[in-house]
Amino acid sequence: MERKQGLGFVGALWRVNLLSAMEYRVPFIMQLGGMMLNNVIYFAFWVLFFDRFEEVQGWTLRDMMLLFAVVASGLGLAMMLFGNCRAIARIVAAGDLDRYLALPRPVLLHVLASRSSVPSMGDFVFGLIWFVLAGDVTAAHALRFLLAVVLSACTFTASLVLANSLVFWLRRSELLADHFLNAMITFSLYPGTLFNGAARVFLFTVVPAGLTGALPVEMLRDFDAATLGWLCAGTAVLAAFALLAFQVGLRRYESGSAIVVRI
Amino acid sequence: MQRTLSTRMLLNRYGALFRMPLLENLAEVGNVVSAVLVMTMFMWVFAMLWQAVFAAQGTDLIAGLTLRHTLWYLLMAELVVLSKPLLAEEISDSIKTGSIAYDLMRPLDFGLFHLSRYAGHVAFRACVNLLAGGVVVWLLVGPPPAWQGLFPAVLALMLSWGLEFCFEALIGLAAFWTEDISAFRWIHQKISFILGGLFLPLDFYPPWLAAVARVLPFASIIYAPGRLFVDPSADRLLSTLALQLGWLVVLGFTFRLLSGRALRRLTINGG
Repeated sequence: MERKQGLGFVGALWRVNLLSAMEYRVPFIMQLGGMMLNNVIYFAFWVLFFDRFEEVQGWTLRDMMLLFAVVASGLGLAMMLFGNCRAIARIVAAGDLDRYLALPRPVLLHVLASRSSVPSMGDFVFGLIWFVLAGDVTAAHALRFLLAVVLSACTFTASLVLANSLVFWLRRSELLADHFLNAMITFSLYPGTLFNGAARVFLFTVVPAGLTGALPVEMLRDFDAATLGWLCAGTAVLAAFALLAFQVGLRRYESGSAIVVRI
Repeated sequence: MQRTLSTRMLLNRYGALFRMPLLENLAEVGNVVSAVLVMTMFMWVFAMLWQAVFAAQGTDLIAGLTLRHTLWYLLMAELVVLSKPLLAEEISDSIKTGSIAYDLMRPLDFGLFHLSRYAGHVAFRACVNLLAGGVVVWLLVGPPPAWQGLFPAVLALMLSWGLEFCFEALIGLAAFWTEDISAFRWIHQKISFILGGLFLPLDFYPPWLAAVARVLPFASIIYAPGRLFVDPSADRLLSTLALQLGWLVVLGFTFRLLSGRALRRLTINGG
C-alpha cells in the first residue's frame, strides 16, 4: 500500500514536471530539437575520425553509434526522471532541503523527482534513433538495449547522488559535482578499450563511466550473462553507496532557516 | 557643453573592468583547481586515444603531424575553448532579468564593457589552463615541437578570442528576439568544435571538407592558433592573421549593427 502511494507520488511529480515544461511550447521544442541536433553534430567528429582511421582498438563507427545511443538515452532518462540528481549539492548549500524535509515523503526520492530536464528528453530520443540507425534491430537486441539504457540511467543517477552528497562534508562542492558530471560524460563517450590497467580501474570506481558506456556496449556487442552480472552488481553497489552517503550526510544537514513561500 | 573623455580616462575605465574578473578568479581557488582537473582530464583522454591511433597505424607521421605535434595542437585548441567565459549566457540573463538596464546606465560602451570583462576572464583562465595542460602534455610526449611558434600563436590566440567574443555576444543578443538561447549556444558550440578542429586537426579531414573548413571563422578560432604553434612559418602567420582580421571586421560589424537594433527594442518595466 505504502509502495503504491510512493509510486503514485513520483508519477504525479513527473506529470507536473512534464506539464510545466510543455507550458512554454516554443522553448520546449527548441530545447528538445536543439539537443538532438547538438548530439548529431557532436557525433560528426566520430564519423570523420572513422572515415580516416576505420577502427581504434577494435571499435568501429557502429560501436560508437551504440555507445552514443546508450549514453545519450541513459543520461537522458536519468535527467528526465531524476533531474535534481545533478543539483543536490546546490540545493543543500542553499539550504533549500528544508522544503523537502517538512513533507511526509521519502526525502531523496522527492528531491530527485522534483525536476525534469527538457533538453534531456532530446538526449533520450536521440539515443533511441541512433540505436535504430546502428542497425540489427531485432527484438532480443532491442530488449538488451533497453536494459543497458536503464542500467546506465541508474548508474548516472547513483553516481551523481554520491558525488553531490559530498556537500554534506565539504560544504561547497557544487563545482566539484559539475566537474564530476562532465568527467562522467567525457569518459563515457570514448571506446572502452582505450583505457587499460590503472585507467580502467579508475573508470570503474572513482569516475564509474565504464558502467554507463563501455560495459553496456560490450554487453550489446557480445551478450553474455557474466557481463550483465557485472553490470548489475556494479550498479547495485553504486546505488547502495549513494543511498548510504545521502542518508548519513542528511544527519549532518543544518537548516538554512530561510523563510520561503512555495506556491 | 559637451565633455570629451580623454583616451587615458577611457583606458582607465576599461582597464578596471579588465582587472575585475582577474581578481574574482584569483579569489575563487576552486575555479583554479577545477580548471587544472578538467584540462588534465581532457589531455589524458586525448593522449590515450592518439597513442592508440598512432600505434594502430604503425607510423610516426599522419598527415604531416607526429603524436607530439597532435597533442600540442590539441592542447592549444582546448585552451581556446576552455578559457572563455559564458558570455552569451551572461548577456541573455541580463536581458531576461532586466539587469541590462544597469549596464546601459553606465557611461560605457555596451560592446567594450563586455569585451573588457571577457578579456579579463580569458587572460586568467588561459594562463592556468596553459600551465596545467602544458605540464601534462610535456610529461606525456615531451616539449613543444617548435618554441618559435609561441609568439605567433599568442597573437593568433588573441584574435581568435576576439572572434569568439563576437559569436558569443551575437548569440546572447538573440535573447531580445527569442525566449531561450540554449539551442543556439549548443549548436554554435558543436559546429565550431567540428569545423574548427577541436578533437581532430583539420589536416586529418577529407581534403574537400578541410578546404571548406579552413576558410570559415571556426577554423580561425580553434585550428589556426594550434597549427601555428606546432608548425610556425612566416607564410602561415601572415595568412592566419589576414583571415582572422577579415572575419573580425565582418563579425565585429555585424555585432555593432545588431546590438544597435537590439538595444532600440529594449523596454524596461518597473523599477
